[in-house]
Amino acid sequence: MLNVKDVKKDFPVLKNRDVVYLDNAATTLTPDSVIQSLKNYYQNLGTSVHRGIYQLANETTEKYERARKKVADFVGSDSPREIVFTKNCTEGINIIAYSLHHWPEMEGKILVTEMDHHSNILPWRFMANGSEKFQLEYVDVTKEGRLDLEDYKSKLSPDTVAVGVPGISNVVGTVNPIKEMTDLAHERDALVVMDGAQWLPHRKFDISEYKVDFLTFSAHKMLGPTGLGVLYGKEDLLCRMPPPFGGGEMVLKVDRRKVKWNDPPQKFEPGTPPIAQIIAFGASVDYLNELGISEVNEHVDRLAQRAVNKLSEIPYVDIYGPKEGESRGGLVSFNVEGVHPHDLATALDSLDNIAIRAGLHCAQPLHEVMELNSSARASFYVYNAPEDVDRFIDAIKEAKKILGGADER
Amino acid sequence: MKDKPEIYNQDVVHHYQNPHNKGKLSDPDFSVTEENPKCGDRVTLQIKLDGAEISEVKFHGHGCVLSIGAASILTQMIQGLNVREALELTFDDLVENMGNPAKMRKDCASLSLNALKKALSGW
Ligand SMILES: Cc1ncc(COP(=O)(O)O)c(C=O)c1O
Repeated sequence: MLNVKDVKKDFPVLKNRDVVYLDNAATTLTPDSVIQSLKNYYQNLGTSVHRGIYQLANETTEKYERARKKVADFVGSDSPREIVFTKNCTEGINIIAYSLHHWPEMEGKILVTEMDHHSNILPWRFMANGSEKFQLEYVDVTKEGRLDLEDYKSKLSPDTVAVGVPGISNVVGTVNPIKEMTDLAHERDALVVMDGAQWLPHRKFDISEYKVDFLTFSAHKMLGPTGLGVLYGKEDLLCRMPPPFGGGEMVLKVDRRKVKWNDPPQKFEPGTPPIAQIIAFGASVDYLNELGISEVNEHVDRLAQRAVNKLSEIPYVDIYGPKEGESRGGLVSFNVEGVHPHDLATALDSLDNIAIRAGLHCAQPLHEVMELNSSARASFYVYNAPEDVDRFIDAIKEAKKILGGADER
Repeated sequence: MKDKPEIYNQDVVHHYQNPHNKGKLSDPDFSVTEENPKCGDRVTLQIKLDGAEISEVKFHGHGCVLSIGAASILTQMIQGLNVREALELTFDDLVENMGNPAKMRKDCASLSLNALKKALSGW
């Protein structure tokens, strides 16, 4: 079990600011060790990677590649060449969509789900628009907030190029049956692109178990620095895919007419990378490993379940997504009757410095399916204690007293 | 929990709970809907002119205290103004009646004002 008191001490923001931070699905706070790693780069290394012949640059390169190895280990890949560093999860999906679209053999259907974040919908839509090559279709979501697997099976036609799916929904918190979906896709030679933004921060992921072809996630949602994401791709795919961006370090040979691409991951990482952030992300992975990812998982799930249980007892609260058990991740979205989610967020902030998210959470199609104008969301992480959930619940009741009572608009 | 913090200016909450000029005009000269894509709030503002003067104004839609409160306050502010005066209204004029959180959540509070500007720019 996590010792939250000890964990809290590692997070300077929690010492410097009076906040009950429940917006972890958006971005997590940063532990000391990661901040120290960033500082160490600027104070003691300060150089670029791969290009220098001198000692200092070698040392930077070594630390940088060690971080890549840590990330590979974290997702269960035995080859760091499968780890491409990107700007964020969003950029990773854009790279995949662009690449597949520019790959001559790839032609047919792209399946995404109604519960995807805009970042796993729009890159595909951009490629499908005005082109004969890709046709986009959506897998239905049930009223309960689960994927309709029968619908998935019926839409998974032999001409399906790729399936995009969130490991865990950032709105309804549903943990999707990735293994089953991947097996079905592979039977029809379709590739699977898993948006891991909400999975990787607190759930064990092993590529040899889930077998997806591509996986994307963001460092800033798992104790890491901003400006950094990861694109995992199976090595043979990365070797054959056309890269979307050109620049330095991504080619082996250039003459005025022809280029020979470098091997992955460099092929997808033109230009100078975010070196400090990548090295520091290695420290985030270390931190999570020290806590133990299954302990993190258990802790976060328990907090979310506590929130779901307590919210369920309030008659004027509606909760979205599966109510309990294995299939729910570490967040809960809900509405308080008569109180707009924006007002609720403002009220929780004013009443007890509680930070939650309100709005559409970049998942407008899902809100449309659920017939909601917007929702409020609380999401939990390693430094949250059960008391944080209780304060959150108390503040909701207080906010309802102050702002509720208005007729439905 | 803090002792009685003021979440919103009480007048704004009152406007939200008892909105003025809420409804639809049967024969408006202008009708403009503004939406906030971040939160799904939506306000439709309808105006009827008598010459250059705003003779009737109504709004409808759904949203938070700030977007609905602001719409209600704004309809009161512009009733009887002429078009030029209405076009000169600024966000700060509106915020004066709404208190600080309105500034923090400009997207919400300015929804109806944006609708007003769009509507009258076609005059
Ligand atoms: C499920 C999901 N996918 C993708 C993203 C996009 O992440 P980022 O904004 O870091 O690219 C998010 C977070 O906002 C998310 O929750």
